[in-house]
Amino acid sequence: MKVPVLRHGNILLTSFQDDMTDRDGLQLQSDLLEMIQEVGAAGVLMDVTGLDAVDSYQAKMISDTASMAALLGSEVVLSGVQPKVAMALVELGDVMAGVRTVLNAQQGFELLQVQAVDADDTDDEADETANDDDEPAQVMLDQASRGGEADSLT
Amino acid sequence: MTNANQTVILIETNDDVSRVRQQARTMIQQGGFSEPEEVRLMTIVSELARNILKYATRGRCEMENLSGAGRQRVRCTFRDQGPGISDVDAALTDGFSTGQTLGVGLPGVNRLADAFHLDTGPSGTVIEVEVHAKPTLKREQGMKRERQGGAIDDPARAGITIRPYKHGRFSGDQAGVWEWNGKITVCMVDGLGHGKDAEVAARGAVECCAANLNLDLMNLMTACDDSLAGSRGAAVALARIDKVSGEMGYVSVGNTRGAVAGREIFHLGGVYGVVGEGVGNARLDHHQLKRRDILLFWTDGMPESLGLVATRLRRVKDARAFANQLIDEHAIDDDDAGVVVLRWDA
Repeated sequence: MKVPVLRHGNILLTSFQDDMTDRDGLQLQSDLLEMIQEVGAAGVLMDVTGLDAVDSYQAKMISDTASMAALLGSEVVLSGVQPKVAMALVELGDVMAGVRTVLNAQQGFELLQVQAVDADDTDDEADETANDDDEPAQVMLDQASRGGEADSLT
Repeated sequence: MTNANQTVILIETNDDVSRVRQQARTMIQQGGFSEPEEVRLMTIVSELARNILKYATRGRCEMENLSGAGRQRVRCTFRDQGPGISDVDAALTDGFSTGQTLGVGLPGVNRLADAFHLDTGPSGTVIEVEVHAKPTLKREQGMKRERQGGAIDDPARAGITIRPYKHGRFSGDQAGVWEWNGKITVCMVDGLGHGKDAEVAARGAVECCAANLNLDLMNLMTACDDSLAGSRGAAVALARIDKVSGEMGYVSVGNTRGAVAGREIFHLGGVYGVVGEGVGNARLDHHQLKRRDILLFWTDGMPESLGLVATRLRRVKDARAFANQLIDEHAIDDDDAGVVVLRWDA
């Protein structure tokens, strides 16, 4: 069973399921990493609502995937840890420590989109800064053309 | 060997890990368990099945639903003929792993399980784990109707007054007085600690009594112990009085106090212990009540000498008013306080 990775803009979305085998999980891990690189994903949302019980192997796989994605430069957010799973996970050991988590996929998506937009803003600002030198030239050009028009009018 | 309550799963490939998980889910969904208990069991079996694959290559899991007789639990026994665990203490310590994993497996399972037993040697390893259904407030409230049936609701004869610690919402002290088949059963419970968990444990014992008035006192105490397994645990005092003859049997485990106040005071003894963790040392004692004797049970939220007070005020007309008065005048502030007053008139 291949687990799909969905793309929305520069955010990738995937969901871990309870009936996933370990092989499926590892396949998903490599698919996800490849796709991050392919599309230059700014954010990855990993939803685990479908996981009813997480053992230490699965927890390690999920947190490893998050670390790997982060190494590629993506923001990684884990969503949908069920309360009963959280209870068991903490008793099991602090196996998901370090992974950024939100309540549900909606929140995760909003968080990542905000960050993606922030990133775009930063790009725009960078562009603007780069354009700063051009702008006077543009103005001069405008004036010149206006002047030209004025000349032609007179 | 596969039926609803018992099953064996061979663990030989990675796919068997999810088979064990699903089987655990089926087993525990037969009723009585909460979702967190279900998740705990699934996490435990998943972890242990993986351990077998990793360290012993193959093995088996025997799963049993031991629900019934009060204590609801699922037991899983994992057996393998692998090389065994050479250093058990280290294996049960967080962060220790001879494989490339987090090393939380065994210690985590130990924490998640309500019972954990490990037996290992060069010819293999046996790990036995249990998950118990904990009594919950919701479930106990569902049983309440049953209890009203035999409860004595005559304020002149029986009074129960409970005052939660700091007047909070929950009280770890709970009590009940019931009449059934010509006998009066009195139960005073002090759940360990304060707050909700203490109340859950205490209620569990009271509801267990209410539902099992047909049992003799020692079996009733055992039933309480079973129903409290996995809970906070509690101190429980039980007494049963023959309505006509005044012959009383009583058994007490833990620090609740009891006395019969009449012309003189007779203190009811008990044994140390926690109901919910085994009551093997419990002892049944007998006492003959006399006319106008008052039976008192109280918890450690009241002074130990409460019996003496009762002797001074022994002409009790109204048991409920007397219970209220005792709480008002004597309850200490830093614990739940509870008292049961029963007036026996031949």
